[in-house]
Amino acid sequence: MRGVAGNLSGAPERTPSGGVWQAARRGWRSRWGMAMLGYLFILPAMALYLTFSAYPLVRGVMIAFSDYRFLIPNHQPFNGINNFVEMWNDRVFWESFRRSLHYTVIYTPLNVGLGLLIALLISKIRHPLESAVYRVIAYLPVVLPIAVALLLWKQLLHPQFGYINYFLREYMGIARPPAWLADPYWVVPTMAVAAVWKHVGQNILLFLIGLYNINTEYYEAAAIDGAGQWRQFTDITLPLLRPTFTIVLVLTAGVLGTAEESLILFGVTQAGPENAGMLVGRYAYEIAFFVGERRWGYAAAINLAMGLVSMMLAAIVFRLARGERME
Amino acid sequence: MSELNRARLTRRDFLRTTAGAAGALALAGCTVPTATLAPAGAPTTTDVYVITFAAFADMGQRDATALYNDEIRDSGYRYVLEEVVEGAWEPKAVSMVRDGDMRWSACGIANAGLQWNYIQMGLVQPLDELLATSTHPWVNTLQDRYYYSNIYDATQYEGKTYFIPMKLNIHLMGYREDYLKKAGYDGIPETWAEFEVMLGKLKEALADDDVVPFAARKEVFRTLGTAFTTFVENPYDENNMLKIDSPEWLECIAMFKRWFDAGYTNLQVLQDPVADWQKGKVAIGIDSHSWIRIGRAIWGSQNIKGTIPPKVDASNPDRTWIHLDSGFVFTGAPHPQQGLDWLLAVLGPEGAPANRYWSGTLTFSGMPVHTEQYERLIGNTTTHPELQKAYAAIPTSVLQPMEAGRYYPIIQSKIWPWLERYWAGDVSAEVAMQNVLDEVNAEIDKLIS
Repeated sequence: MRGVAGNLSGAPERTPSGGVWQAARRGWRSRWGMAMLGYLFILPAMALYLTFSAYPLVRGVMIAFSDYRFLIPNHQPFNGINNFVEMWNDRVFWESFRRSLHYTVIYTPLNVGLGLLIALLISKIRHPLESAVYRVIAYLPVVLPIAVALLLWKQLLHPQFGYINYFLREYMGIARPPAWLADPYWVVPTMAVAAVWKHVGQNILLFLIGLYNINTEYYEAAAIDGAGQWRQFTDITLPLLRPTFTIVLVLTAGVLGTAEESLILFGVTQAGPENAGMLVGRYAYEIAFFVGERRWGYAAAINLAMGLVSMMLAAIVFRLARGERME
Repeated sequence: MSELNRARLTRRDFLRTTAGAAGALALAGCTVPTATLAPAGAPTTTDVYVITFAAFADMGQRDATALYNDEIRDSGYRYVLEEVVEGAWEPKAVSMVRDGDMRWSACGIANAGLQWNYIQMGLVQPLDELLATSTHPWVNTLQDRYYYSNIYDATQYEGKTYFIPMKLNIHLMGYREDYLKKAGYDGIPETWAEFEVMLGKLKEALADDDVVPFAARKEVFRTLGTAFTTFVENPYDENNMLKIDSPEWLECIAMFKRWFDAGYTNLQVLQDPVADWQKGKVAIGIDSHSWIRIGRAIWGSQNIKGTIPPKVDASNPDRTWIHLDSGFVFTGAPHPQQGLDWLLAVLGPEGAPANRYWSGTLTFSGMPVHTEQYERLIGNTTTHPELQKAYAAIPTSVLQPMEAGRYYPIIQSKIWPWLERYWAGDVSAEVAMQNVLDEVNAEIDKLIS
């Protein structure tokens, strides 16, 4: 193309390898070929993303604005915002939402705080093999199937025969320890703690990556200037871990709609004592797969609302992180 | 480049050719054969895909299918039993039915509480025409070979046959006989009033061992529903909904309240009593026969006994909870006749596949439905005296109607929080049940079918 633009007379310009058009075609072919090669490389990932993420997401949003009832063949009429109006007036939804918030308020700080603490302890270990062993131990619950992990907790938490209450009775002298999953008051905190144990390994790993990337010279310089361990932690470690905190908090924001802990611990047909295990994700599951005509439309609307709340929480985290960066 | 050089196989060409061949072979290896290979001229065999849950395959359906394949090896059909995960297969099956692309011909299990739902989903096809054209030897006498006529009735919906029974569940009272003896009893008394007195004595006798006299299961049809059947002739109303607004229901839950108040049972054990039962910390429970089987596996037949539940009045007939799980043929099944024939062979009254399958029911879940199998496995043996008594209660009990499945999940979902609050003393029975009814009715109002 450069050859054509430079030819003021407008007459075809010959090149050593052939005519102008041939050169242009070759150039186009070359760029097209390169572009196609690029698309070819991302094709598998795009296909997987479109099939398993984008399509279900779009379909989910469409279902949320319909009265889709799985039990009734071909019944999925568009019903506008009716599902959201129903949700607004649904007492059980708000009760479940309150429990989910309660769960999130316990889960998030515990998951982040414990993850950071354990990562800090592991990062202090200088022997590579020893630290590797601790990293594996810390990450082990993450790779354990969640059903196995939670059923393990169910056994530990049995009011009469569980090791936890045995320990509290025999070694701590507590005559009547809590009934944990059999007591409505303790159900949500107990589920949150079990879930933290299962998932904290992921945060430990993320924090460790962040910690290992901090240049040790900062600490050495701070120590020379007289900064103690705590001052080094607050003025060096925490600020430099800010990007890691962002990732960890954004990943944790999705916990609001969790359902699996309740389903595994209490089974599909009951939601714990006085329905204390009825988190909002489980409520959506019940509507979609257990009660009535399997109202997928209403269940999708609940999940969409929870997704939006989680996105808002993630946006707040991003906004705060960006504000800090700009300072 | 000379002609000779062109003809030579380059390293790149060799690698391309071998890689291509290897890929083609790998793809061929991954292909699922739809029919077994047969020598030229020999008749081909068509695979008929049928499904069941892994637990029921283990229980006998896998072996029974193999036996049936042996019997029909010259028929041109072969059954392939695929084991599916409970609950997870339904959306897939519904999609296949609605897309007109059904892979499976029959399903070996439909829980009683789900059968009505499956008909509404369009998963199940009526069997009458297939039954009329079936050549199975016992197809015409099937109705008469069930242990009792209400078993046949439970396979019908709106005048059509939809299901072939795959197991009967008769709920029983399972108990630790050694514990009862400590309280001075040889067995379960005949009435609830006497039973309540016994619970008091059990509590005293077993106090040092931390044994809870009675355990309820948090599943409305197991303990509570079974107890309720002894209070009324028919526990269902005209719409086949459990009569949770009847005075007898209030009387039944009030009886449980007295037991909670007196410490004969407790809300902690209510959440999941099977672990306590296995560990010997529960004396009595009302449940399916598996409660007794689990107990016997740990504490032995000499200590674990079973019987039908007590009655309100000694003069009342014996009654208990009964429901029927069944197999069915899929709508749009590729081989519907063969699907039905498989059900008739494996779940039939006689023959090697049926004998194998029905023996398995007594090891895991359920009981036989045919007179022949009952006589062979229970009636003419001394191993299950509690089941003989349970079968005797079938004529006077009401078998769960298929339409009750419409209400079961709603009641199960709504009733427990209020029952627990009532039993904990937080609300009165009237308030609790009014709230349950309001919530159940609100859900029913949302139904459009």
